Amino acid sequence: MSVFHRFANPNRFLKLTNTVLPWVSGLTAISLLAGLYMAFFTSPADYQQGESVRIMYVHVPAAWMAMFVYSSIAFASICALIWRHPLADLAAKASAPIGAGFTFLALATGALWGKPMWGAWWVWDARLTSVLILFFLYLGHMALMNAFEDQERGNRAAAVLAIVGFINVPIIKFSVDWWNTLHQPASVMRMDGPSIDPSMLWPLLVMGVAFKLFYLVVLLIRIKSELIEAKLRKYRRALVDNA
Amino acid sequence: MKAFLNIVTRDLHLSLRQRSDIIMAVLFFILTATLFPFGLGPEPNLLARIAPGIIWVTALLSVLLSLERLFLADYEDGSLEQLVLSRASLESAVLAKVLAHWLTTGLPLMAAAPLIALLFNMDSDAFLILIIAMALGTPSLSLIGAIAATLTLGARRGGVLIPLLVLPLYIPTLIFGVGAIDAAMNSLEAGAVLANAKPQLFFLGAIFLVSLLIAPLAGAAALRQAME
Amino acid sequence: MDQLTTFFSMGSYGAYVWPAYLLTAAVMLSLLLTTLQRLRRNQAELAQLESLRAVEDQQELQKKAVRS
Repeated sequence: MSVFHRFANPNRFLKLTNTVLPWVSGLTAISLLAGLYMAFFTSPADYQQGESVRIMYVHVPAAWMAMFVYSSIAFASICALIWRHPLADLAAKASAPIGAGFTFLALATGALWGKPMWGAWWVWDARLTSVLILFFLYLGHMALMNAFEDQERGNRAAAVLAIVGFINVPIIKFSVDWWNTLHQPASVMRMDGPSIDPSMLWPLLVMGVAFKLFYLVVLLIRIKSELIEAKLRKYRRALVDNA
Repeated sequence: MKAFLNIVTRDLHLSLRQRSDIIMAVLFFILTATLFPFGLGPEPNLLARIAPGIIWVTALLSVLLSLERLFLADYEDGSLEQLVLSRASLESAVLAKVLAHWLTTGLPLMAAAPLIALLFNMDSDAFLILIIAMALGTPSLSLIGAIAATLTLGARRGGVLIPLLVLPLYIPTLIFGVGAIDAAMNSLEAGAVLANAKPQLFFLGAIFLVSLLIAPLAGAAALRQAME
Repeated sequence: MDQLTTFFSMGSYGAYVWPAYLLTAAVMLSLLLTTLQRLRRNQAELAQLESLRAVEDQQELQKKAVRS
């Protein structure tokens, strides 16, 4: 817990952020460029799906991020509620729009991939449906966070919701899978994870890392911004008191 | 335990005095369900096939209607504040409120469901499963709903917020609730109805148990936040 | 030139592949830009408030110096 609490001090956190940020940003740019290069030039076209398989290199990492960011929000919420860690609230708040953005991307690129593969923009496939529900969970979380006059209360309520939602995610996933096998759609594209060819796996992994780093960069900047906002609020209050 | 019963009886008294709330939920349930034949046509086989889905979706929406009032009156007249200050167990208080809510919403819906099943020409062999599924599923709706109702206390646009928070969490109940009745309708022999629907009923029960565990904890935490 | 057109046509899937990548770029860029914009605005405001405070502090000091 000690490492964890060492960064509870906003100033220490800011200092660390400022030194780390340029490096992480550089790494993000490099991995993104490398991932894009591999996605377009070194990876082959799929023998069944042709060039459309290249959508996978943004779609799958976006879907990974959708779940990863939601888990991070749940983890931050637990820290915020139990240990009252001052940065945890900010991290949860800063993560929500990023996660919602990635979830939206997973859905939109999924539709763009589905149209040529399934012949429809949307099918009630188990994965797509779960991601859609996850998107609703994000929307609810963000709406609740901003629904109160008192930002503190909004953060705390959203933290409870995030934890409840996180406990429900496996239940939702299970029920949607179950529902889907019962009502199997006519044509299903098989996309088995582990059997994927290395020439396709590598660009996927590099893009996955790039997306995670991107999340880290935006998250750090947003937390920094939130910290400054807190300081501004304090100053403004002091000015009002003086006047 | 005494405090628990006090809350339940008080809430029951209150809602029995203004019967309109209970009647509204059931009326909404029946009215929206009868809209579907107008939208889809009166073909008996089609209606029988979609009856489980319609019963569950409309039941879910009826519960949703009543959720905002679940804690709002107590919040506004200050009795929630007293409850928090009285150092009574908030978890059991939340459970008591949920029980009263279920008795005045879930139970009437359960009683009205066979009527809709009848109107939709549903196979009478599946009626028993319909009742059991509703009995197992509607308490989860009240429990999960209570979490959203407590979290939105004092929020701007609380009434619009609740559906957004609650509907994604209702989906598993909906899936297995409908699944149980579907399985019962699809079983070929009358005797195998229960055996056919068993896994779905089992999952409905599991969801109920999980909700029973989470809702009091989350609800109590939300109440404490609302009173700070 | 031919190579370029075949590349952009993406085996006739260009109409799906490129929008997917453009959309991804648009969402990620707008996330980054709005975040940066907010940071800049906050930083500017903070600098302003801090310089205001510095001026006030200086005035206090001068007053004190005059009095003594």
